[in-house]
Amino acid sequence: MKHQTRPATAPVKITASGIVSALGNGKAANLSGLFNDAAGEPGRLSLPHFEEPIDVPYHGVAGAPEPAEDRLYWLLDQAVSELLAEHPLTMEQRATIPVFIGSSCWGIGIAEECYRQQYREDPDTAIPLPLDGFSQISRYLQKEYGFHGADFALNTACTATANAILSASAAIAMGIHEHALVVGLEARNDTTLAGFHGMQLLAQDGMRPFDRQRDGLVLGEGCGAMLLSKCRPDEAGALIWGGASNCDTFSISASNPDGSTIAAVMNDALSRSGLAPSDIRAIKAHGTATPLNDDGEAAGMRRAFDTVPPFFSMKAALGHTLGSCGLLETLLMAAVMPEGRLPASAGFSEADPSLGVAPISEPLKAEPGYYLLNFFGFGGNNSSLILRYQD
Amino acid sequence: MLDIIAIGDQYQAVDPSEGLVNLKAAATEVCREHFRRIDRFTQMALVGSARCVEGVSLEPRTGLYIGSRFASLGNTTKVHEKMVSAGIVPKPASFINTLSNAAGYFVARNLGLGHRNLFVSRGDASIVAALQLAAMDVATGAVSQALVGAVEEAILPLEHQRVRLGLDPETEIGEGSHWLLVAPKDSANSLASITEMVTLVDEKALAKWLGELDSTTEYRVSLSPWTRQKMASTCLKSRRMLTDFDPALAAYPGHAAGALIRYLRSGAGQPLIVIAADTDGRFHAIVMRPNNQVSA
Repeated sequence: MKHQTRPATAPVKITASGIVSALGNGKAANLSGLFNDAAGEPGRLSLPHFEEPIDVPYHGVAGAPEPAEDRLYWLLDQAVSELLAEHPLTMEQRATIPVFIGSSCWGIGIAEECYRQQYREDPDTAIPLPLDGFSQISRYLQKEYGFHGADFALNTACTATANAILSASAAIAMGIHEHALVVGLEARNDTTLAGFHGMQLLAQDGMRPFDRQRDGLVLGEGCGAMLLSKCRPDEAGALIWGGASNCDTFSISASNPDGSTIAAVMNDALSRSGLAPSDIRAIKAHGTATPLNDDGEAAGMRRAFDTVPPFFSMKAALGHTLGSCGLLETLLMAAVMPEGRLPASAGFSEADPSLGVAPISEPLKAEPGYYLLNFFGFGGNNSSLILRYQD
Repeated sequence: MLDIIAIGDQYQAVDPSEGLVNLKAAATEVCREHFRRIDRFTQMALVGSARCVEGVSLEPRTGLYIGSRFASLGNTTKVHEKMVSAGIVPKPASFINTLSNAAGYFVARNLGLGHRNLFVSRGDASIVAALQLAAMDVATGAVSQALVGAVEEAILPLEHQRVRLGLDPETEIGEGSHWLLVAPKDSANSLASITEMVTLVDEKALAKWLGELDSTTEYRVSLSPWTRQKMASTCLKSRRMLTDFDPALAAYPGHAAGALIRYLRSGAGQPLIVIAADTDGRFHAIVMRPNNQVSA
């Protein structure tokens, strides 16, 4: 794909946003953490409910309440209140704005606690999954903030919010809505932590994306909210310029290591955005530090680009926030652009010759232009977004 | 908005004395390869989707959209039972199957689909959400056609299932995997057109929306048992151009999707309005206008 064509979709503007993550509460704290070399060290979490001792590294959010339900809503409150402080929406606007939510956990932590409590009281009458987990986030946004519009609870594993951004952009492009709210949330829960532990995908301590010594990922939690709005293509600021997603049926838990499907989704995103590979200034890689994912992503970048642009991963600083990573990392990417620099690839110190590429190890000057953001997930789901920044 | 060009499904009411229907043979029959360690939710998705596209040549840019209230309920409850009662770490295959998009992966692999592949939930209106996502992607050219399914698995005991679904005791419970292949408006071989999909904040808004329909057109209306439970007023009865359509389905979150397919198979020609209530007091509606009769 070498020819520049007309974009297939209309760009949308990131009008306002809010974030809480292991790096801090609010965009300023997150940016500070992202550029702070000392940040990124995960804490340790012991899971007390299992027959074998489970002690895992984890990027938890400081100050979040312990009970699962309170924690979920507290995370939402931090992100949504920052967004609304930046761009207040009238109750009339909130009543009709479509809401695109991505998550991997939804209400699973709440369901775990409810069931555990019931089981303690009477194992014979306890009901596993006693509640509708997918509706928890939307219900809270309706009750507390008045967002009553059509809601979309998307779950495509680690691409959930990248896909939510694509769908929200499409809703605006159809001309029906001026705005769309996108929310990504991942909250601590036993099912996810034990599941990744059982799959032996967790690192011993910190994450090292694209590093020769990489040994797995560290999970994290957080919440992000983003208001997308109809805009003119020549508007200043951060615009979601386009994107694409596909499904790699090579394996349910790993991308094709030859990079073909990952290259295809990047090429599709470029094509739909009317761009050539040479238009991309840098890539925010998915970069989970698992051997297979980084292999496949490196191979994909080599296939899609004659010269691979500078690239980096944020996950060693944030943790892998699974279904919310698409939103959190896109939001932070948009937030770093006015700072004029991109962060070094967190956790990286030693190149892996077998990958044929290496991420940036120092912050890089961020110029106006187009940036590619990659997100890949279980179930073969791949998404690439194009972000354009203009002063 | 969208044209429906093929339909297919798999449905049964649950008889607790017989247990849940074993779907292994039906899944094996429609699969191009042997899938190991797939759960019952995925089996349902494989069977329903294959029946929908049997004899149809799918376009390369076909998107796949699965809507479900609970996704893989049987597998996830088993994982939680073992986790909570015995502190057992989920086995890798069981953990992977708790992911909502695992079924979408296997359907894509079985049908040779490598394009956009989404899972979405919105309670009993999950089919509406899935069709809305498909309509957006069709409208913006992200996909050329879309295979859209509503998959809802029942689990035993049914008393627990009724609690999850908020249904009255003794309500008959069903399960189903209902699929529509949809394409842009004015497609060849259109069985029906979906002309409207709306979310209405409460029953007052629903009444207002119904009041704006063309009163000279005869409409049929389908409500799930849950929606009937949630609808208090007489906003349907007061409108004479609306007559009931009973798809003869038990209660389950896929009822709205099942009603669309049963209606097309009935050969009726009037537009059908399917209304699904959610658990937050809202109503989600689809208007479908049949174009050709479908053989049963």
